[in-house]
Amino acid sequence: MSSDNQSLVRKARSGSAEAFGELYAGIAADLYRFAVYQTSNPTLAEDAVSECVLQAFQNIAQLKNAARFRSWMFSILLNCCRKQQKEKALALHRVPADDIDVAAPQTLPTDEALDLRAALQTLDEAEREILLLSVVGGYSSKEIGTMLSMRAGAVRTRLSRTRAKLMEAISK
Amino acid sequence: MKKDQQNTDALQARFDEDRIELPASLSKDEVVEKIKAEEIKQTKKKKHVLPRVVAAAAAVAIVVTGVALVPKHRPVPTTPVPTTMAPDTTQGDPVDPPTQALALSHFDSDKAMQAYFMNQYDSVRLSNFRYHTKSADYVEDSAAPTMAYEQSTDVSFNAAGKETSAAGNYGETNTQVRGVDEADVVKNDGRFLYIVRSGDFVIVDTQTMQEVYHADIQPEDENKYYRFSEMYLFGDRMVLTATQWERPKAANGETEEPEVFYSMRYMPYGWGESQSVVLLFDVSDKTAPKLLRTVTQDGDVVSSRMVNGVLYVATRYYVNLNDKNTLKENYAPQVDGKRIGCEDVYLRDKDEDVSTYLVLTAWNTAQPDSKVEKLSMLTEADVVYCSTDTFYVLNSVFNWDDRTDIETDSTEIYAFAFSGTTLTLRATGIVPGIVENQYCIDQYGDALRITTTDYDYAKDVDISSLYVLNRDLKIIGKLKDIAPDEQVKSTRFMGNTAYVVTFRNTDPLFVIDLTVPEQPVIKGKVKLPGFSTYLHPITDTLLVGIGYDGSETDAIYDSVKLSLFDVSDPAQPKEVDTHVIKSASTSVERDPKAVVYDSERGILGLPFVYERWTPSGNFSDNKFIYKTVTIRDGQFADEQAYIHATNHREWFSLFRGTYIGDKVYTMTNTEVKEFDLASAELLRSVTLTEETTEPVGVPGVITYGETAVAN
Repeated sequence: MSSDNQSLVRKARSGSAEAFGELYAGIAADLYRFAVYQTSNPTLAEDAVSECVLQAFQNIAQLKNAARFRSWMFSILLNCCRKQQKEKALALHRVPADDIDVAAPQTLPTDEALDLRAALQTLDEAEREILLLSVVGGYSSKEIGTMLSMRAGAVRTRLSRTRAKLMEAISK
Repeated sequence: MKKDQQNTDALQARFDEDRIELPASLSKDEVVEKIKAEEIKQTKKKKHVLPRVVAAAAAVAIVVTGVALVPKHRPVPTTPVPTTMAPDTTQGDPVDPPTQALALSHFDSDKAMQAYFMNQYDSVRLSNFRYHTKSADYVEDSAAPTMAYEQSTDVSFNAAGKETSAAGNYGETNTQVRGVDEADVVKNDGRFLYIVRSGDFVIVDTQTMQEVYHADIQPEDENKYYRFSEMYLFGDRMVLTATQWERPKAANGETEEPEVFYSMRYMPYGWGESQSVVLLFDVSDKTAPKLLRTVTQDGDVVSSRMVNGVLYVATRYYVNLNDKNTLKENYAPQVDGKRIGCEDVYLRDKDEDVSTYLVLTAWNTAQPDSKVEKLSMLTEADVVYCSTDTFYVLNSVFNWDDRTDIETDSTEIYAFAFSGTTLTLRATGIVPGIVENQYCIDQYGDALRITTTDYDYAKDVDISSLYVLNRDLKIIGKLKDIAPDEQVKSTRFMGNTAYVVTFRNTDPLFVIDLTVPEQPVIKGKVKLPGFSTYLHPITDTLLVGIGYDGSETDAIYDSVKLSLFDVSDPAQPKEVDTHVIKSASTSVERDPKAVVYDSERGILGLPFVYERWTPSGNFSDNKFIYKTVTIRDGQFADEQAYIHATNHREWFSLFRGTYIGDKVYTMTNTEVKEFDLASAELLRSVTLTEETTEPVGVPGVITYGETAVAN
């Protein structure tokens, strides 16, 4: 990470929303993609990223290593996604399914994209998280292990298993 | 893993094709506005909202001295002196750099300890979180004379873990070391079954098949509540471990979560404060257990053990650097209501900012009022292994050298010797690589044997190795790269032999002879598809491997494979029988305590879960089947299935089994069932009192099961 980022983190820590905005801009697209796949719902994804941003800014004093900004954000986002999904699951018992997914995406996803998203939903949540942290987040097994407090070996194993599972689901 | 690489590439391409546009509401400018708006809202609500980094005033000087100057401190283990390395004769590869092990020290005073954390709060220095800025230093003692290493022969070999009682035997917790008990969610005393659930615990009398006790124990402080984790039984005493949380507070009729509570829910693991609690009960009357004492220990439990009624609990306490006001008090963890003083705290590396305490306590549960002894070190902790005299804590460390950009993994070992409740930090050491689980560590005589997987970041290859350490935790023997580019999946040490399963495409079981600790030698191996994640000793010459089946190229993960290994000829280990359970999984993969083995009758019992999914891809329900298989004449025989539930709606639920005499008992959070061992016929069942519901907004625990939508 460049020294620019170091100083941005420092500024954000002393309360600069603009500095935080700069840091965020560099990873915004990845954060959102991750949330879309994780929650399989653009509205929930938007909420999760918003929540994540607010939480991160409020707690940025806890971020000790500027180089870890990106993975720190992903860790927070992961928890925010879990929370959104949990709330969705609870809401589903009360709200008719038609009322959910109201926000229309700007561009409609292709059939392939829809297949991919549907296939992701066949994975269990832990598998999906690991896979997305790897493919979308671009993290190594070690880094994912740190984020999820799992052993790197276990992450690698599950990743390989999940990839195979997902490939099978897509090619169906 | 060629196939895996193809999958990786194909998936990456697939994801890249899917162009997801960032919605306008998440653009940089919008987000900055949102943050500012939230700031104003928060400032109106509370005075102290954001913990701001104050420009570091005068740097706080931390004076660190060794034990010689401050006699009241606990002694620091002798720092190993760098040795001139003799050429490594065991292996052809270059010797790891010889340097000092951990330079342990103490804070001069509690004030200095407090200042250390206040300084971290104030510091604008961007120090590394769990990252070291130098390469790991391994201490090798190949120059040490062999004579100095005395091999003790009187240590009982920890093959089957437990002895089974003679007549009317019953399933006990599957422990690693004989004489060292491990906590579990289920305990069986030969008549009563004790089941810990997250909000309470129940006792079931198997004679009447009735729930005789259901506990709804709450802390004295009504703002708090317990979440129970595991238990021990020791004679008439029961020890329950729990975590204590604060209830969300209601203000003005609305439910408002306190700020700390709130941020804890979303912050990454280990950022909140939690308190561990040990509850000691007298269970001589099963219908009315008496709470004898409650001991609190800050931090969350890493692991615990019980040896002769003395309970050893290791917790990890994360100092909350978020709030300067609370930090003045909470810079050090409390044990039993008393803050740990500097004399009991070891500083691992005085140049590094560490905000985690490892706290180890010892307490004699036979004497409820006795003092809780404690010892602490500023460090992280991952894995615990405990012999009959030493509690080992292992800490995996990712090292990054910022000058060379070289990344390495290593594991630090802290040996806490104990005698009753007296705790002493005997030695510290470092080995390359990461330890998979507690079964990869074993103390035999004065030797500590460890298997690790090291990852070469530059070459992207795994290195599976075995290390032998002496009493001072110096490496005296090693076997590097047991199998090229394979990871250690499971290990079992039996006396002078190590059985190691590694995996990349197939599962080789290695037999490694450790008779000469300085020269571990591979005696033999057998290659098989799949791999075992747990090895259970049956006899001196038979082992059961529990894991995944496999094809020629990879493991098949939706099946469970039991392998029976005959290791009577170390040079030619043989897989003499296999048993594959298709489309199922077993919790043994993560938790070997789910294994029950009756050595008298040779019956092995395992819980199996069959998940079912709706056509739309949602979780539907679980089928819970307990299975037993008998090991007779070197073969698997008499498979039996005990069907506990066919449509259990909870995704992640406790499912265990055990036996008493000729009955098998299976249990989930909601029901206990009794079966005839031989015929698998369902005899009786009891529905348990509904679990005490959790308060709304339990922090940090968002279970997957809750998000599963039925139908």
